[in-house]
Amino acid sequence: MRYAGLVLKGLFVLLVFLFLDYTLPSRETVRITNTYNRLTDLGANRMFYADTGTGAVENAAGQRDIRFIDTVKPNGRPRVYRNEDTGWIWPPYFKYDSSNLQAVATDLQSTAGDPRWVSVTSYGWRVAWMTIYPNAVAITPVAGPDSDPLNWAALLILALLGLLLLLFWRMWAQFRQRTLGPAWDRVDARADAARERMAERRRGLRGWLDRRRR
Amino acid sequence: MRAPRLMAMLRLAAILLVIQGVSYLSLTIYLRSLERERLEGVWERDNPGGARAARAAFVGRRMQGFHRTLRARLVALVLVLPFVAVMLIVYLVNHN
Repeated sequence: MRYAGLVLKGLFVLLVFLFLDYTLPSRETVRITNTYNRLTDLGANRMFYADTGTGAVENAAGQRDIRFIDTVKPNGRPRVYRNEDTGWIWPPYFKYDSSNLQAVATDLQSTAGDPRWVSVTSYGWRVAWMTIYPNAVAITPVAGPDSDPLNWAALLILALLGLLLLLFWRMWAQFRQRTLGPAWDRVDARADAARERMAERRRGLRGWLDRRRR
Repeated sequence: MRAPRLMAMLRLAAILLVIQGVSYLSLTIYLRSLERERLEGVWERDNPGGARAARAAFVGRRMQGFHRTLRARLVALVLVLPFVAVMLIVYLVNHN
């Protein structure tokens, strides 16, 4: 039973980490090989695609026309991004220039013999068996496959989240000290007084019983 | 009226307003609580072992003008920051 609390806390931390890993932007140096769009079936993995209402076209069979960017990492492994507008609510990227981004990506595509390396900023996961793709948010040309530009956006957001957490902790501590503390002390004092009255009555009763016995 | 993009933006504005309202309230309560604590310390230093009622009166008097100080006014930034953040993100993501 002791471990239940620990396991729950661990699960919570894991969930927070997964959520942040999905939502925060990440940067990857890749070489764009192809850009196209394709009718894609959206089933149970709908949650990992953009919300409806972003202007995406869906046909009667539940398929959506989605732009894709095929890339290859420096180690030769492929990495496929989707390029969709995000909704106005979540994730809060407010991205509406997918067409422009697709045009930029098409312009930057290259072959293995004459590579042009770019840094793609994206959010989301590439999980092949679930058919979900990260959403490319920005593309910047870089010097070569070894350049690794700093992911300042994610660092900034994490710093802000840390500050917010600190503020909440201080506010909660202040509330506990100034409001909950005195209130609990008052309840405690009242309970002590009640206990004292009970003890008085018991002493009085026992004294009366003793006097009767003698 | 079928205007999904407009409805989405209004939803965002509504959500931001709710968050701002709650943040503004909690921050003002927190700052006032800190100020009260500081004033109590000041009073205790000058009148050690004094009556609680006199301390409460002192703190109450001093807290009257608190909402006009700079610290209290800065909390109004909380009402403005989310919209500024949204505009900043829109610029960085779409026009960079």
